[in-house]
Amino acid sequence: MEDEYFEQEAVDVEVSRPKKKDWLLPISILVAGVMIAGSLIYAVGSKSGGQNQGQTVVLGNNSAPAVSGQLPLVGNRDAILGDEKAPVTLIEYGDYQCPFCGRFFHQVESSLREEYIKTGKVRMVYRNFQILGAESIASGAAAECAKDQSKFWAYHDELYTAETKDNQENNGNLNRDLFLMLAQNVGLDMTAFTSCLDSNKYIEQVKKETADGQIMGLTGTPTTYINGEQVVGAQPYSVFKTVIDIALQKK
Amino acid sequence: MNIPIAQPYMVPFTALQEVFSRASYILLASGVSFAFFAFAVWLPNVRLIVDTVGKGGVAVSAKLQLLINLLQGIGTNFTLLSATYTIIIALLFGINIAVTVYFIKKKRTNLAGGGVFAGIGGMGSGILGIGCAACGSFILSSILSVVGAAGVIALLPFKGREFAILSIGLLIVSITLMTRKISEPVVCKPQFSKS
Repeated sequence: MEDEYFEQEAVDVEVSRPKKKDWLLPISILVAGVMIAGSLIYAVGSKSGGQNQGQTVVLGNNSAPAVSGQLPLVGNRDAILGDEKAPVTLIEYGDYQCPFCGRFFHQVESSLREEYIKTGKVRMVYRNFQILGAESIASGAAAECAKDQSKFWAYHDELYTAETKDNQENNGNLNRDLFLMLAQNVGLDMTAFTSCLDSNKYIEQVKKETADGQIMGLTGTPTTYINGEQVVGAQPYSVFKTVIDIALQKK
Repeated sequence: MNIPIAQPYMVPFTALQEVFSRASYILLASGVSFAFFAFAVWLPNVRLIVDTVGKGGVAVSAKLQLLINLLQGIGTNFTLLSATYTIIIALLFGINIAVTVYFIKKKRTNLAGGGVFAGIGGMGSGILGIGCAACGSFILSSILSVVGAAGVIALLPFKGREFAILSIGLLIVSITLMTRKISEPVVCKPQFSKS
């Protein structure tokens, strides 16, 4: 009788052991794994561009339509800095207001010019990817007007030097007065430049180049292509040096 | 004899001390933190890494040089703010994994639901928020562009970096919940029979 009582009121004491919610660990690992793998696959896949992988299309001549994932080549509208027959081509997609493009200009480009461009190893091309607003697009158009007078690179340098004094986006400093002053600084024909600027001759072209960049899958500025190899961001000079040296070895 | 009683706010620190008194957990946390940090810094240039490191014809020293040099991008390709939260998320991520593994091993039990979900949220949010300042919230913009909603990022006040802040909060919550669970004494739970 007594035993029966204790059986009925017995307390089953049990150390806490995994019984329920055992799926939490595998699911958490799975979720993290899927997110990381998905992001990696997408990051790689979006750059390779599916059926257009590795396809090279000449841009910069304002005629070829952009294709997702394509690799850019130098076109007849591009202003080339350096030896036209240099074995390595570096194409920068930049925005004149982007502080990281400014950083690239000051910290990387100056060393590139000294070590690789002046020595005939690399030729450089700048493309418009003016994504930060109207001042960026107007700056791109002004630089294209300077290109008409074969002074693109001098004007490009003046623009970045002026913008990086404050590094503020869309604060009104990249305006007509500044464009004219910079044009004077680099010795442009002011009548021709003013006419080009005021007629908005290159606004649509700059917008098209920017749209082409988006179609190609660019995600930000600066983005550079070194013989077709994409480098995203204002990476340290050593990264560009390594990629260029590898490209030179392949030649 | 007075036995010191740990204040509730000290519990997570006491548990962290317990976990990281073992070298293996310091190594685990350091390894995971470095892996997350490298992932965040390398991510925008995954294609370059795959092309260079994954293919023949390039010297091993050049491959290693590229990987190391890309890590230095934290100093040139990030703002001070984005570099700071990237490093904080990486450290918290490593601590979170180490604490979780310790918890599983010590208690030999299933995970604490709230801590796990906060941890998953923190990891997911951190991954969404990854991105150098130059290229924005890389994953988020990629995902949104797939569904044609890339413009949504522009509507966010911090352009997607909200997810990084959210991630830090969730990882701290996750670590706190886990450490509290670690500090709980192993007890027997009564289960009254229903007869």
